Amino acid sequence: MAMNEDTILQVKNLRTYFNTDEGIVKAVDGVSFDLRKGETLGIVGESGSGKSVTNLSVINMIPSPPGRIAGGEILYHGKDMLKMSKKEIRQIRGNKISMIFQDPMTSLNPFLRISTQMIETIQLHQRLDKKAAKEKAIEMLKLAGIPGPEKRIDQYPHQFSGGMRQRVMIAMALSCNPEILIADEPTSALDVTIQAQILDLMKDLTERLGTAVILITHSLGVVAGTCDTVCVMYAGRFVERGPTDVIFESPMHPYTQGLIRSVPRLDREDDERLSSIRGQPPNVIDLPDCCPFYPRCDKAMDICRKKYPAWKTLDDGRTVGCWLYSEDK
Amino acid sequence: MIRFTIRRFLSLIPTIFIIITLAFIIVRSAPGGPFSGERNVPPEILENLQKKYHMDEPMPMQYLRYMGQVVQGDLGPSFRYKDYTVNQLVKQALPTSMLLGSLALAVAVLFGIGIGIISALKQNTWIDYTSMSLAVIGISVPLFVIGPLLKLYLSLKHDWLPTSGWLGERNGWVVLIMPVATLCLPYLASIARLTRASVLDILRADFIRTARAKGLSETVVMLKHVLKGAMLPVVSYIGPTFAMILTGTVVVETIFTIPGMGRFYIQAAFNRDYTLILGDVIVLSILMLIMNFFVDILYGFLDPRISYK
Amino acid sequence: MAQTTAPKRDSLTNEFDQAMKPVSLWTDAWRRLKKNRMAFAGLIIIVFYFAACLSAPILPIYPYEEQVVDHQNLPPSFHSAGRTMLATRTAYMKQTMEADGRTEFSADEKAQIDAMAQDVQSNPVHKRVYILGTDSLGRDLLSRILYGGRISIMIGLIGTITAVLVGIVLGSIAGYLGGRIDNIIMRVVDIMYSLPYMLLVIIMMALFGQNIFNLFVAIALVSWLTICRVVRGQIMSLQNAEFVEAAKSMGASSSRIIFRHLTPNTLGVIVVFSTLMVPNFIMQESFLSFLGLGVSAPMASWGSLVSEGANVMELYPWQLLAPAITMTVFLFAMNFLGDGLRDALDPQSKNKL
Repeated sequence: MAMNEDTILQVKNLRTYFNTDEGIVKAVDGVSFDLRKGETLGIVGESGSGKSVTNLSVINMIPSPPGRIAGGEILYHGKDMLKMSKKEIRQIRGNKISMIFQDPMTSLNPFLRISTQMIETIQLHQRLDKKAAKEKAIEMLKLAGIPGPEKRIDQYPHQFSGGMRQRVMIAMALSCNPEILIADEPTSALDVTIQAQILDLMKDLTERLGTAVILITHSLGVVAGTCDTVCVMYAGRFVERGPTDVIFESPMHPYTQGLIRSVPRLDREDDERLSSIRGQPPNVIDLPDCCPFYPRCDKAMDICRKKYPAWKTLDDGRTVGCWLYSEDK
Repeated sequence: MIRFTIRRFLSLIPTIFIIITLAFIIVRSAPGGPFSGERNVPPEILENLQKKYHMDEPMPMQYLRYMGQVVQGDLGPSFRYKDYTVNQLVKQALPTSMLLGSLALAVAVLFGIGIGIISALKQNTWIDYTSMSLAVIGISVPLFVIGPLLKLYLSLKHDWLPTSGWLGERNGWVVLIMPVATLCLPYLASIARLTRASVLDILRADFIRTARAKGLSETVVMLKHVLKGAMLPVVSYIGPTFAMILTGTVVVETIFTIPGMGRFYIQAAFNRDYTLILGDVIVLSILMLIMNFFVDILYGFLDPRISYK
Repeated sequence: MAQTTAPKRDSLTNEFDQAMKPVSLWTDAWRRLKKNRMAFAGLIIIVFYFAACLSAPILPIYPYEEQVVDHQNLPPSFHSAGRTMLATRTAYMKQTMEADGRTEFSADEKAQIDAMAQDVQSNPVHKRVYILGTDSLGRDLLSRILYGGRISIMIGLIGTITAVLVGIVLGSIAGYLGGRIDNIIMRVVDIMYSLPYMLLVIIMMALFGQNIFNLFVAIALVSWLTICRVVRGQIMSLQNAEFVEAAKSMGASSSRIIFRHLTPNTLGVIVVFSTLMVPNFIMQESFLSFLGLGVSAPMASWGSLVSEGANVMELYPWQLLAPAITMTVFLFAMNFLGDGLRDALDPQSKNKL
């Protein structure tokens, strides 16, 4: 993972664990990736693979009694965020690194006006007076495609539809011109037609403002359309990572292959059965040392049962974790 | 918002009518009459008394007559206290009960909310455990146990506070302490528990996660984002709380011999003083309804989802 | 997603040899409840109370209504009644004696004391032991508390069961059928909700006479309201839930849907509510008893015992303390149990992390 001047975020071997009644859940168990300026990175995986936890760990918002960040480094411009004071992190949140969440219906405070919620962010991070902050907020709403923003900004969240609310969230997140926008399944809770609009909006705005994006999704279609780099996540770890077109064209890890194969395509024969990956994702508590995918893998070998695969970086810019591609000693 | 207020206000009227009617029916269908407790009343005098109070008329007529009077603000004469009208008796006793009830409500709400918020913030620390355990004790001990116990220890054993009586007598405002404390305790406990649960509930909400992700400090999150929403269930609980406090005055006034509506009510019930019973029910019900009305309006203010449809 | 090529294995471990315990709502809840020490302690206390009160008729205690005039107002003690009686009477006489300024008992008083001592020796009734003392009519307080417990607990249970049954029936009907019936039922509920029902109960008890039946009617009459609302709300929200659609699509009939699918989901709420209703009922009954409107002598309930005790608490504090503490501990335990059940049945509840 060569570091070049464009890299703004480096996550190294992040591990986030949760203490539950049944044992320690290793939600994220050794995740590493780099993010360059303006890059759009997608993290894709099934429910429960640890995608959201990864994101929350980056801005250190893991609920602390059950969860804790057990190891690793998160270097933002070279500084380890996990070692920062609470005050320092607060200055980064909403300002340099913003996050939007999955469900726009519940992510906005129903008891406060939109104007209040947007102005507080702007005033917190930028030295603007209330009037100027409000104007900035209205401008952002306009950019986000909200019609009549001067009037609507004084309304309450329940007076907006789901898609509109997500636009408001995006406007709010981008209002301080952050370097990184983390989007946690921003379209999963929306209608399909609105999904496309919101994704387009995000792509447009982030390109214009030069924002890097970490996009979490379980939809390969979304990844293909918007991301420069994609990371495939399974049971708390990445199994494959690399440039999108490279991965999609020739996926190497059996899981990635399975995922791509299972996307229904219009250009297939009518009577061909839909393909799916057999089995279920594992329970991540007390997982033994093995490749967690092996029970579902057609190409599983003996060693897959015994040891977790080593990472291998390949020439085309991707990394993959599978015994098929590395020698075992 | 205005329309909401007006609608709420108008719905009070039929409710009051129903209450009066129901109370009337219950009171009148009871066996015996207001004079059955009187000893040795010669039958002719009994007849005259019945005539005087229109009790010889058919029930529906009595009902209409009564309603007519009430609408004009006349609650009729007391059957028991022959020289007084119900209006006079109520005028005497109402301020006392109102004062007692309002003080108890104020203390219960203020301290209850305060303790609830602190417990929620310091969840799972000793502060939390102690206050919540005390709260459970508070709701488990009946008023008529707390009252006498307080009396026993603070008045009789230690002579710190006077045993009974009310303002205007020799002791001054100190006499308020025990009755108010007794009356407010269970409701203080309930409100504390409710507030704590409500604050914890909100703290887990998605929009609090958003607020934190924007970089707001915990103080701002608490005061600006959490408080408003967390108060809603508590506010809607104030109405029933007030109703229960009014009911509780019956006990507290008996224990501490306070000349309020509650005591009158009990005595009236035992004495079968119909008009006094009905009068009390009407006045207390109106108080409760008015309080509920104000609470509804307050709720509408706090929750924009109601007023901005 | 049937696994066709995976090897056969023991159903309780998955492919990673991780144990997979079958989890149902109730076993899961029970486990969580056991962990909650206060709630579990509450449960044990309640079981103990039930056992004690249920078995009162067969326990070796004195009849609760039997009055022994000589044994009036005896303090609790492990000594025999005779001895205690002698001690208290003697002490009282001593007080009178000192008030008179004497240092010795008069002949008269001595004779009284001797006569009492004689009686104590001969009369077997004085061999009794009153662990909790006696009341003003010489009745054993322990026995009265146990029998009073029977009444109070019974009132709590029957009241709750009645309220819950009525509430469930009306709530389910309103929730499931909706429309006009729902409107009517809800209007009735709304109106009754805003009635100062305690006041009305007081009137009813005062005017219609005090007996247990009236008591039940009066209290249960208004308590079904909340449960009705809650059940209706649950049913309405569950009706549109996906698992109901799934069941319907598999051809389940209405009654099957109600009984096998909707009810288990509402059951949790109902159980919690009931557990918290029982202390409520007992409180209300004791409230009425305190005002003299509850059970009448010679029967006792905790409320009436407390009320009697409150009257004499300066002189004989145990007459207040014994029943008061008994009742409070029971209510306390039920409240903790109710809270614990609520937390156990709703794992995402606000009270735990």
